[in-house]
Amino acid sequence: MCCFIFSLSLFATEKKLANRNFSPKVKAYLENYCLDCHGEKKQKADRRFDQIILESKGHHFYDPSDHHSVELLMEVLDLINLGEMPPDKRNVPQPSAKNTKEVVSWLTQEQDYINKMGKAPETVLRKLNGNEYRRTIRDLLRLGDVNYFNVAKYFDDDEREHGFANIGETLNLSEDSLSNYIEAADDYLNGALVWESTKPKPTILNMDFSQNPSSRRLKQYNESHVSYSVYQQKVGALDIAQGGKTTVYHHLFKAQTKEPIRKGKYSPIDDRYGMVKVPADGYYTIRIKADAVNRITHPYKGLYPAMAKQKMKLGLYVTSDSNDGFNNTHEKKRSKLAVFELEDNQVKVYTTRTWLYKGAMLCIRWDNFLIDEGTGSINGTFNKLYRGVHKQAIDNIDKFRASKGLKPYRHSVVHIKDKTHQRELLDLELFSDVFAGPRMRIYNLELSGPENPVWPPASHRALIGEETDPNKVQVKKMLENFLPRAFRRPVTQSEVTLYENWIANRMKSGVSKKEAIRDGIIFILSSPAFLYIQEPKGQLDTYALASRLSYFLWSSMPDDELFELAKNKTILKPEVIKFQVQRMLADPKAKGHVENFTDAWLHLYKLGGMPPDSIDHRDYYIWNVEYNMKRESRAFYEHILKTKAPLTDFLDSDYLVINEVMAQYYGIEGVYGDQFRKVFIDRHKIKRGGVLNQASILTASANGVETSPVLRGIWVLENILGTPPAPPPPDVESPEPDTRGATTIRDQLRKHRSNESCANCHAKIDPLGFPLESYGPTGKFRPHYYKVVDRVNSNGIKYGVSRKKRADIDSSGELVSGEKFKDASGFKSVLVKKSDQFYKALTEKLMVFATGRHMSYKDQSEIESIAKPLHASPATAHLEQLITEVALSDIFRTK
Amino acid sequence: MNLTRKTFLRSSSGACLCLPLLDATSDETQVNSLAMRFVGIGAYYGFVPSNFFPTTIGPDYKTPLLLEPLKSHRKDFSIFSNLDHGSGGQGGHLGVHTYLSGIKSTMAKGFSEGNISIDQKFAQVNALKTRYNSLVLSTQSDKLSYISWAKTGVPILPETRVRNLFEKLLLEPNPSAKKKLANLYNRKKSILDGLKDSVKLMETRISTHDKQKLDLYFSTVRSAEKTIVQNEAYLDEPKPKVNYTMPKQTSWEDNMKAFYDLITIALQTDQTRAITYSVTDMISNHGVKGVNKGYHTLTHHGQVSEYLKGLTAIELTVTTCFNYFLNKLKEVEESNGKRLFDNTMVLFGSGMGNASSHTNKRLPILLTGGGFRHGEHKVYEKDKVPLNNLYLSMLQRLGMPIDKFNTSTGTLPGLVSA
Repeated sequence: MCCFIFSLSLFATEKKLANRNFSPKVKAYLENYCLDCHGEKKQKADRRFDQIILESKGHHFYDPSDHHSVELLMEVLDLINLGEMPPDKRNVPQPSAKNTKEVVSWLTQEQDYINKMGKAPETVLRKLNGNEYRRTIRDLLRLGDVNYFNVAKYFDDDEREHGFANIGETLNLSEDSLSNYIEAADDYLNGALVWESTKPKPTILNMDFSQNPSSRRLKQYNESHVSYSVYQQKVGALDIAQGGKTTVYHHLFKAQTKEPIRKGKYSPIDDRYGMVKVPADGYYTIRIKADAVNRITHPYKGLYPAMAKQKMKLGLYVTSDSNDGFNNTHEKKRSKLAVFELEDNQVKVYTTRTWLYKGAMLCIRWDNFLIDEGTGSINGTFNKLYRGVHKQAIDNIDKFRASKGLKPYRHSVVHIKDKTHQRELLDLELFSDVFAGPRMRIYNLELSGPENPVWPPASHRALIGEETDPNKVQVKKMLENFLPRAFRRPVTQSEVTLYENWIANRMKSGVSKKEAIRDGIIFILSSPAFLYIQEPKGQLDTYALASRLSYFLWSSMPDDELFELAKNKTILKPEVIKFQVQRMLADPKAKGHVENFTDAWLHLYKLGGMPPDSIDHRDYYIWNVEYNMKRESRAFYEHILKTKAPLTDFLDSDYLVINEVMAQYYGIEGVYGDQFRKVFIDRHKIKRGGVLNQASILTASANGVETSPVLRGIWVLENILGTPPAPPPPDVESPEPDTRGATTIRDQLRKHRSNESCANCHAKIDPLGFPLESYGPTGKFRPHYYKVVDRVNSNGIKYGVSRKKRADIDSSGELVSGEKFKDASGFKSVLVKKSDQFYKALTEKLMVFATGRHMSYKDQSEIESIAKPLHASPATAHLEQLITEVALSDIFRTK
Repeated sequence: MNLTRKTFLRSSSGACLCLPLLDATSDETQVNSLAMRFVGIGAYYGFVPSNFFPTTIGPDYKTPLLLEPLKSHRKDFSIFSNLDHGSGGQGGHLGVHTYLSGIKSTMAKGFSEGNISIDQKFAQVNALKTRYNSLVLSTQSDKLSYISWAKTGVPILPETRVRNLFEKLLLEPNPSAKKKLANLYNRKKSILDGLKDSVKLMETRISTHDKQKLDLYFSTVRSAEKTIVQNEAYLDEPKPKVNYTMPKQTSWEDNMKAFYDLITIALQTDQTRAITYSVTDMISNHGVKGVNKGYHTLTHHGQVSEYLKGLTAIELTVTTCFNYFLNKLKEVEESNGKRLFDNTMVLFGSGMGNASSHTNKRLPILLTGGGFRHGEHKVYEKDKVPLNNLYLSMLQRLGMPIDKFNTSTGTLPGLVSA
């Protein structure tokens, strides 16, 4: 319903329909029960109904071509059906059931007429959004699994409307992004095109600590309070024993080179090592020889409690910028390649094979160190050691510093610049000489590749063919092969000629053929036929249908099979579409659907926009919860899709789909490892289940600081019930929150609702938010409202917070339609009873995502015809079936 | 005009130009180089209203807490109460980006010039006259804080690194980098040229609604072409030599001051005439002494005094840095005998009226320079006067012969020449 306003302009050119009689009974109904608030005098929620009814010679009618009137009437129908209007208040007269029925029946009849006569709006020429662009390039250039390919980092800022980033009407191209498209294509071609006639020989980059001669220097550089990475000469290995603060410590792979290259702030293994950049695109094998030392056998009682329960985990990551390896906020730019659980005191080689792009860098990290770091103090575990059992080693440094006229440094950082001092220092007993805690011990890191099974690689073949000598490339033939895939449809001769001539002109201007071909491809990848999804008016042709399917289910271009079905036109057959939906959802590329649809529907894209305070919510950062909560919601959706679970599981479920981090966050024991899996929960203990209590949704519907029943209520209305409220009237001020005393947001909203112009909408909104008040702004369960008090050390530096009970939480509520509930679980039961409404909402959301346009009232009857059977037989209704129905609908198959 | 402009640049680059010193140019160029400049500064979270707005009307107001740092400039600025963008700017965090336009990006398609912001409107006048048509700057790249918008309904992405801005303004690329750039421009130009033809081919395949989208694409290609032509034209123009070293930036305050230094240099050396600067701090630490919570957290103060105290310290840092900027502008004397301050119109304010209640009404607005008579607290009728009326008056003063800017209903009464 929210979407009506956006479709208005599209009807302007439509043929006018004849006026329709306005039922006298309905007119009387409006006058008796509606016009007091939505008439000439008052226009609550900006709604005015008296102008719908036209009059001529005592005759009353309305204009079915006037879309504003029609939308209002359809909204009246919806709200009467929902029992929300007229509002159930003492001073508002209530119609009889019979009267209501008559009105509903007339309005429904008019709706049918309009649906039959009118036409729905069309999808406007839509630009690939950043995400679709990346996936399309990946598939077009056959680049393999390069989700971590980072060149298109500039395209993350697409306009969203109601959460959707693929609405043709909304998406625009800025000068900056056009320029970025050109430069990104340039970057992609660096990796995709090869002009050498023979395969490059695979190389092996080896970082062997057993060969490292410079142990003492390593020791001195690396003892600091935020990092512990010490070279152990005796065993010939690098020990990694710490992360710190909110900066997660990583180690970049390094290779031996003779010249000093850089001494990074966070990569101080040795200044004689340079960063290893992956030399060329391709598959690589990475071998890490390592073990876990002293995981349980360490001497520090009371420290490292979590280590006793789980194995040490070595995380292997890839990034394209050395800084991204370290910074917690750069999670998106750093992709995890593998996690290895290290054996205790048993040296093993851990191997993984992966696709890497040229210029990528690898880094490793002790993944579960921070779980033991605790949240109480900045340096956690290590601080306790510095102050306690190993105080002597720290005192040694400070004494040494004092003797050289240097100020004692906090803790044990020993960045002493004077070379003589450095040498002297090494004769002392330092922290690293006595430390005996758990650590990862790395003996050897090796990267070998690229392993190219075919030459030229698939990317070059996709663009050029087998030819690797630019002077022998037949440009016209190359274009005839490449253009149809790039434009996702057959191309005309004049199109081929345009690009052919352009390349020829480029060569005439003095550019080599190699460069001209390359520039020509950049030109193609910046052209509107590539960047926009083109659809003919009316019924989609077979190629447009193939693209609709692929962008719906993969967020990417059609593959060869879909192109073939488009070419032989069999794609028009329902059974072919059914089969394709199954096939495509089973393909790994369906991740595109899962990620982008959940981002849009559940507003997961909002995560990270208003991050919570890093000290007040330390665990949120230490465990990297934001990243994992997003994955949880996606995994949950994927689980429901793949296992054909009932759709009502979205509303409430007796299981969660979680990994170790989320289990910890929710206080669930016994879940280890990074992968997400189904875990049944005791719902008396764990107040979760369904999407509503997922930390991601609770965080995305708050603002990082405090919760608002209004924001969360609107979230439920819009995304679960499909009935978003009208925007607040412009002249009303929202109340200023007051969290000083025992008043709660509930009290403040009560006051707000006493304002008449706010009351109606908020009676609808607020009760849906109250049951979620038991979850804080980062989705943690909270029995009370808290006051957050800073904890400050003697230097005035804040190191943490404590929470004091401020007020009780009342999470009960009552819907406008009368249902009452005590808390979140009661609320979810109410929602399950309203599952018919949810099915409709979900169908509509899928339809918007699938078509790239908002739905109008003209689309409602088809949406209902898809959603209704789900309600009739909920046991057999599942997501794949719903997606199939969407793909078979007229809405989907029409522009 | 381009010729005069080049002459001007040559003369200025010959001498070693030290701040504050730009009066060594020849008489002939003065007239042309001293057009009025515009700077728009937006503080993402706005200000606590009771600390920003004076309580009385007219010139004799008691200085509000946040304006204390600006005391010495009191006669040289005006404060406006009750101006906002009405319903066009509502939306809490999602309304802040309307600060300089009065139109939400989602509503842009309903307006002939989209949601163009005042700086971009003004930049139209100066196209090709300076090295950069406009500079769009921000302390952080955050979508919600974009304040400069093109007429196609898309944001101009801000430059967020002082170092990059420094390079843009003052660092001469070495010959090989120049050659590379020239090559890049050349390639881009011919690609853009080709794109125009490919648009024409596509036009035949699509419907009327689609045509409008394609027109927007086309106009983006056109403006990208113009930018490249401009970049090419200035590639061989030496950048001015200014004695400025990059300061160490250890805090948010240092960062803001470095931005203000470079904004001053950009104006003084006439490399652009339209600049916006968005001050925000969503994620990283603001580094304001004694304040232990994030800026965003503190804006949700809920009237708790400890929070308000922290927020005030941060907001005072913002106005203190603004004062630093005004001082800089006053230090620079230009060739027409006036100070850079007088030749520049600086708007300081926010698209957020009160962050605590997320309202975009009654925006904090302060204006200096531009040849207007200042020194007053001007109060308008609540909910009646569009902020765009002020912008229209400003644009007219900036030399644009227009009688409407976006949602304006007329010029702003009470704003007179000095």
